[in-house]
Amino acid sequence: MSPKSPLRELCRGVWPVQDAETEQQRRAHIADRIVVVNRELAERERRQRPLRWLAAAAVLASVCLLWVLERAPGSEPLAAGSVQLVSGAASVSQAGVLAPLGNAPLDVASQPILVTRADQSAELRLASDAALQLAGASEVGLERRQSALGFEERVHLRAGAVALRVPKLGTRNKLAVETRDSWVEVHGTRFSVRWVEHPPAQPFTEVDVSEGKVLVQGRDGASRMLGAGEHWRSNGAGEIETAPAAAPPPAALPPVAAPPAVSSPQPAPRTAREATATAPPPPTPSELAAQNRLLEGAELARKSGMPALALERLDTLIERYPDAELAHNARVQRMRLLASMGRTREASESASQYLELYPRGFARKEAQRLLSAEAP
Amino acid sequence: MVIRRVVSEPPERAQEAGAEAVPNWSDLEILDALAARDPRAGVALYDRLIRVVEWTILRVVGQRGPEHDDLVQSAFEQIVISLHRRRYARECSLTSWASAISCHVALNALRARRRQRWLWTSGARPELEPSPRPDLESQLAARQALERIRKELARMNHARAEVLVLHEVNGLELAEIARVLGISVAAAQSRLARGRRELLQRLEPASPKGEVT
Repeated sequence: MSPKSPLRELCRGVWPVQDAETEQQRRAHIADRIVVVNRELAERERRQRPLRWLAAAAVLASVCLLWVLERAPGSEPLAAGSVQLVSGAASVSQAGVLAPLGNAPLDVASQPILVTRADQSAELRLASDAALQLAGASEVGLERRQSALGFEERVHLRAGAVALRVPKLGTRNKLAVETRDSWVEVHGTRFSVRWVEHPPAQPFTEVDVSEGKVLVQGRDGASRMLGAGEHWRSNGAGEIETAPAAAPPPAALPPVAAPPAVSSPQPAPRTAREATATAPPPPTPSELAAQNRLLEGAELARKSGMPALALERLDTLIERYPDAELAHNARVQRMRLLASMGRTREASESASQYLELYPRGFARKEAQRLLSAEAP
Repeated sequence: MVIRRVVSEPPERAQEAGAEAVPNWSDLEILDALAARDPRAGVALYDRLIRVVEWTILRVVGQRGPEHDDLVQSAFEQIVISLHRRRYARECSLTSWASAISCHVALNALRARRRQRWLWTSGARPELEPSPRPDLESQLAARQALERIRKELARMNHARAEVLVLHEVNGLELAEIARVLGISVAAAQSRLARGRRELLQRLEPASPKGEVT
């Protein structure tokens, strides 16, 4: 046996072969078998060809269907829902035009923006039959996406606060409230979401759950499930606080702070020193929140191309809280807004008032420029 | 029964010597006839490939028993199926392709035989020694040595055994083996070297059980 290639030993053997007749029989048998197998394979392929086309078509259709289903929630809204004003008053802003919201159903396919003035509140019924309450000086965008699997409603809270009472949506439907830094997905019935701004502190989102469960997702991307009575802030490092037993009743929106008694619609002109000497007591948290909502709402309206609404909110703030710290900012904003709107005479009056009230205010040079520009 | 002795010779030469003229088609013509479902394609394919198929199966399995014709038929069926599935890329000759399929069928039969623990079935005719040995004892020893080779071949890694058989028994070059198996020449060479080493280790007297990792 060769040590290098023992297999070569296999080639050395010889075999007795079959006789010619047996060999001929085998030849005929195997040749027939080859023909039969070849024919069967061809027949099978011919039979399976339509099935293959059918299977390919089915696979293609399934892929297309999956693609459509996958794409539908992220695409433009397919089917329009409607939202209806149940009580209160609100306005709808479409293409920069502010119009009162009537009782007729409003198509949300155009993704309308609903706003409430500081002295308004409204309750709306969404297409999902959920009740949406808008607090004063709030601004929300509505969006509804319909797919074959279900719908998804989104409330984009841009300013102010909303409260929702949501019926059972089913497993395939979804309703969520989105703020600039958080995502609150509904898994239960009643909760409220508030966008809070206390300059110079970082703005944040507050969520209070009254009944059922909601899923919140903050800046860190982590999701948390909030149960009934739980409170969450987006700036609280994900901490979940349990509300005290004497929590406000469910679905009751935090009321807009009642305006203090104002003796006259226009603030009495006083110098800053006088104002300091007769400084009012520090505002309560609810008053401060209301002031913030108004100022922020005005800024948002201005950025959204609604200067009239912004002016109205600034006037409300100045009128209600003439001595507040934020009134200083509101007057500056009002002066700038009037100038940008081309209402130079009113801008000059506003600048004059500002200089009287805050002779050393941070915007005094700007006010003086406005006055000198107005002077002939 | 007439018994003829077949002198072992490479399959290609045997094919040339014994090929019948009816029908005398080229490889491509045979493939076209099969695709056209020509009834003569069966005989043509048989005549073209029977020698290489039989050579491979006989050398690997080592006996012409009742199952031999079944193995030959099975090899031809596999050839037709693989041709029908268009696995034959026409980069090698049809006989080389057939030798690879026959080798595969034969190695599987060898493994099945090892699993079923039978050595010689009734009616099987073992191979004969090419030259008469002086005594019966040496003939028996030579037959046992061949049987041990086949036993270890059945236990070997299938891919290495395949390359080893195609090279050592069928005489295919490495490049041809690479084309037949659809692998690179380097891979074929590696399998051949490893296969040789593995078989030698298994055949060493120190490791009678052939425990090679």
